[in-house]
Amino acid sequence: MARTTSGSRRLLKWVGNGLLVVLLVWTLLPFYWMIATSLKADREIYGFEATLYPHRPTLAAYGRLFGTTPFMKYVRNSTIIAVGNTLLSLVFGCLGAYALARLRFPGRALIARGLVVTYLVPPALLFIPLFAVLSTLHLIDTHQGLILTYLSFSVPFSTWLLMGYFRSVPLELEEAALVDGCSRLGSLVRVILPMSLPALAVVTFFSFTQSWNEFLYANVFVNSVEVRTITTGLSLFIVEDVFFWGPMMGASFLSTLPPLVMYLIFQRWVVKGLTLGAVKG
Amino acid sequence: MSSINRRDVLKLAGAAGVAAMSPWCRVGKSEAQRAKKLVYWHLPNFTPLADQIQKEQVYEFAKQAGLKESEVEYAVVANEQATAKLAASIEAGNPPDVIRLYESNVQFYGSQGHLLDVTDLVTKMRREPKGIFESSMTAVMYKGRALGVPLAVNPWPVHARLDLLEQAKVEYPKTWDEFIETSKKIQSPPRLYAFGMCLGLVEDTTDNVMNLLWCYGGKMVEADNKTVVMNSAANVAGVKVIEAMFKTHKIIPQGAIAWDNSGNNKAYQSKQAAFVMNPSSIYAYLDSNDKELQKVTGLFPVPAGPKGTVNQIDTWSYGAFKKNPYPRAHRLLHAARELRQDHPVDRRPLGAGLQAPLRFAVLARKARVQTLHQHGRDRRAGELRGRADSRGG
Repeated sequence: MARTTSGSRRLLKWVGNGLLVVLLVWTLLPFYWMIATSLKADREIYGFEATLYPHRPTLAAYGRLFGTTPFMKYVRNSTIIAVGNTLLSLVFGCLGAYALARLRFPGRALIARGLVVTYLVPPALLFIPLFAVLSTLHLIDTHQGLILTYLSFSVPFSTWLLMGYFRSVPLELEEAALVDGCSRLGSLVRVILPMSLPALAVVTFFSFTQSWNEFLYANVFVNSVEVRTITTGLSLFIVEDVFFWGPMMGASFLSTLPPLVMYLIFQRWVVKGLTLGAVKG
Repeated sequence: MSSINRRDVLKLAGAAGVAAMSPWCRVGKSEAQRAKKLVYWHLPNFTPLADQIQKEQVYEFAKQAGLKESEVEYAVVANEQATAKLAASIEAGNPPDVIRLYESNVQFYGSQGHLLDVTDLVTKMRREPKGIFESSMTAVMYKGRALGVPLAVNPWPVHARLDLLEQAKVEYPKTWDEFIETSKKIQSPPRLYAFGMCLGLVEDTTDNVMNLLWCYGGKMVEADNKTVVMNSAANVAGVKVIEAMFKTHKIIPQGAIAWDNSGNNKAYQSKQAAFVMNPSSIYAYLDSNDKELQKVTGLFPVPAGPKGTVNQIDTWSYGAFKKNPYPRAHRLLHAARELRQDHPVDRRPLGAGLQAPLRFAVLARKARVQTLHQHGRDRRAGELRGRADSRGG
């Protein structure tokens, strides 16, 4: 019987590993294809037979990317906007989540549910009214305008996620801090936040990645190169029916690196945070 | 935890406050900048050189209109994204001052009352010595008023592999019947199909199909510009020819029914199609990336049907939105009149991929689309083109 159980486990393990390999290929293949295409000459890209690897590797696409396009400006802009949005999401998310988790006031439940509803409204419905708002505020074509807009989806998520975490922190700890003379803000900073690092890591990662990858708002609200982000810059590699595959793939590959690095840094906390969120949220 | 004191909290709160307020610091500056600048949205051409030419044009116009360079905001907007951006900006009452518009855009935004009436300006331009290519006028007219200033034309020649024609010892076909016969001789599927006809649910399909239907007397709408004509005998005859090319003769690749606008480009550029109908994007690509294929590529008129042949030319225009906050936008359009003279753009190669500039439109009026054939290189190509030219398509 024990042997059978052991065999079943082994089989399950093999099946699990097999699935992981499939998922791994599924995930990594697009990356490989991006890199391979970026290293191919145009004639090879358009050749009759698709080649699995660059037969004559060339860095021409990268030369064109860095030499003739303002790619580094796109990187700079995406970084400013993603970092700005992440910081503000953390601040507003923490304060909002604390209020909803700990304070008692009328409409608290309604606001909490409202956060979810806000998060669920698709950007395609919002971009025109938001354009009108930003236009009135003269924030079109500015970093600030995009940061403000991105807060509309990152703050609800951050608040909702952190709210679940904050509720999981024993109330007694905070009460003890209050008895010892801490203010509300003090107890948030000294007691709750240090115990919520996994959640903060998730919020940081989520806000950064969402801002980095966002396309629709960046496309509609930005015109100039000085503010254009990577995602919208990528679309300029398509001119009507002409695709500049080499530089586009090179830029796509490079644009995946910052979120990847962030994930590698926060990986431990992100996994823990997401798991806890599933239970406590 | 014990290291955090009240001062730290205050510092944190201060930092958060600064972070929260920093985006607003430049609001006033941004407002001032928008009020001073004339915003021009540029939709990219097929090559950087063509974009550069047009950028020079815009700044030249601005200079002639008395604007400083710093007073012009030249924004590059991806073609595919322009519709969403325009929709939002128009709804918010903050569209660009001037934009390059495709002919359907002129009709669409014109019919909604968004575009400035520039009839006076266009009328003046038509009366001047070099005038405006008259065929372009239909693209900018709406209910008898001009709502755009013609900028450039975009011809749709047949791109043909001269080396394959030479190899099969055949000439470029004069009629669609000949086209089918020639196609059967030069193709070797599945590596090479004769006709890269776009048949997916995209704009290029409309153009490719209509180019053929027109030759059979077909049309999309009646002269009243309202009644849709689909089930006419002429249209059916044209569609049957396409069906025969696709099903019976198999000269169109089967995958063409799923192509997007780039499908025929890719087919020709990868040497999987001997003939394609397309604007100058393919030629521009070859000019930059594949000189060998360019050397054996000829540009020809569409083969004739029972009702003759039609050489389609699209028109790009400058348009100005009524709701622009910049009072001098009009002056940029007026300055565009100067394009009719010997502007530097006229000396640039058409092969650069710019939709042929207005001056070229004037040439085209005299010499028709065959003017484009000058771009061929080898002798045989010249002979083939000469024969094609002589039929006076």
